[in-house]
Amino acid sequence: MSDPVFRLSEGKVTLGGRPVLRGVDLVVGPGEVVAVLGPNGSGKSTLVRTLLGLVPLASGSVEIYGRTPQRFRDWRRIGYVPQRLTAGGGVPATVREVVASGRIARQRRFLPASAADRAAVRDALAEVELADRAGDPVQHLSGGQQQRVLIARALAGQPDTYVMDEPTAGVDAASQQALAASMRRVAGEGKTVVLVAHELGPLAPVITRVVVLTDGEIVKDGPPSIADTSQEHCHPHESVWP
Amino acid sequence: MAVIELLQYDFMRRALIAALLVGLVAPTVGTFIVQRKLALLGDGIGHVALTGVALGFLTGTAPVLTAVVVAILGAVAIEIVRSRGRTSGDVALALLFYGGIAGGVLLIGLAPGGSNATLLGYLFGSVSSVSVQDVVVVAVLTAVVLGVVAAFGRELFVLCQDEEVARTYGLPVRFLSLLIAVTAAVTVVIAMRVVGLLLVSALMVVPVAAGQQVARSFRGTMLVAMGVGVFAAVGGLTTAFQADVAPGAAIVLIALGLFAIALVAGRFLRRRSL
Repeated sequence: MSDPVFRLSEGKVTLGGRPVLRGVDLVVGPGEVVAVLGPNGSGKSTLVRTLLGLVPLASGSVEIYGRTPQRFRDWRRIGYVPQRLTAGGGVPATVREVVASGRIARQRRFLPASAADRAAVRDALAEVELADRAGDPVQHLSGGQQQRVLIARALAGQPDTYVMDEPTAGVDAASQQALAASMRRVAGEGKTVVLVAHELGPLAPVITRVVVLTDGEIVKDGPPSIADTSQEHCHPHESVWP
Repeated sequence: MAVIELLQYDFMRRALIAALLVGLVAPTVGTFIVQRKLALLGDGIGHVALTGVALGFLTGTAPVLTAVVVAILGAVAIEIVRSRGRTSGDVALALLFYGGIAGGVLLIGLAPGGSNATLLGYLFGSVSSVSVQDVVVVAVLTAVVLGVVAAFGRELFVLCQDEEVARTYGLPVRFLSLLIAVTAAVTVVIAMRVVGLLLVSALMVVPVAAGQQVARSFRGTMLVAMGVGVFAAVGGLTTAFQADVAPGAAIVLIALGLFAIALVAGRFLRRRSL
């Protein structure tokens, strides 16, 4: 029996004295495409970042492929897509530079980028339809395009598991469709996906499981069909579709 | 040509080599530091290094050596305070600024024959008094810093882009953060003799700011910054010799002039590309 990708047991997280996760149990198996839904401030982002060991647990435990984040070594199996591109000090970086950095866990010190590295970067850029923007600074791109750059960076690393923090938030329809197509492909290859979203939108056909978080607790966990009722409940009027 | 003329003097040859190396290495490290929003890190380390210099005079050790040790300790302290996030980064830096200067002035007074005047050469640089041994030390340290960037450049790029993402690639985030801080400390001491501790940070930041205006890539920014750094260092030294002004100040002002040109050129380039 192989280890699950993520196993969070009795996970409690406190940020700035405020409880954000109140004892969450979540096991994600290989090949699952899990959407974490819930209202703003319900702890969705914190949950996926906890799975990766980025947020310290107040109590409980988390395992990535059967090991604690501190003991886990096989990070090339993980592709994390953060909520947004950080600007930092504003030193420009091209789309290609950012996407190529997704190969870091597969590269050896002192060795230049291999043919496999270059091919993976080229494929990732083509997949998110940004090949023609490869030489442009990411700072010049729209929010949706920047989001696609972050996804391409994860794709370039060819991980087994993708963890995406709101990949569709504030993203134009074209970018949402591009994302859905990428998700269909990686899901078809048996990869695992855990993503945070406000609603399923064009991703709906790819999702195999929905976890609904409210106030730091999982209130629903099941097939995508459960999302419909909860979406009504959480966002009666909101839609990202123009 | 003016530079050729200067090469007939031994002290100028040494000064030019030192300036060239500093102009090359400071912006290289500076590119990472600016992207990490630690533009003032060099200033903090520079102030702390003054205590190291004074400690050298007090104990009869080479000031460059004690400055390296104290600067590295200061850089590590800054990094620890920053990563803990208890005190805001700028307050932590400010504490080190004051502690470093006060420590330096206090210790130099205790050193035999030492006075604040002794520190002036370190505060404002004294590139014309660089010895052969100094040039060797600067060259070795430059090689070390460039070696670190060559070996860890890719990891440092990811770290400077997003620390959390770096963690999910399994990168040793704490080690890399310390590596940047320590490399910056070594750079500050390298540059100390050429532009002085008070202006060290300018050579780490201003060429990068110029590069940011005209370059499109991270690598491009670093290369432009290195070019600006070398041009400013050599040009500043030459100007200082001919016009009899302070070399450190001339170097920094030329770098600022190049930044102003890059600012205008960058506007122009962007307008054309739209």
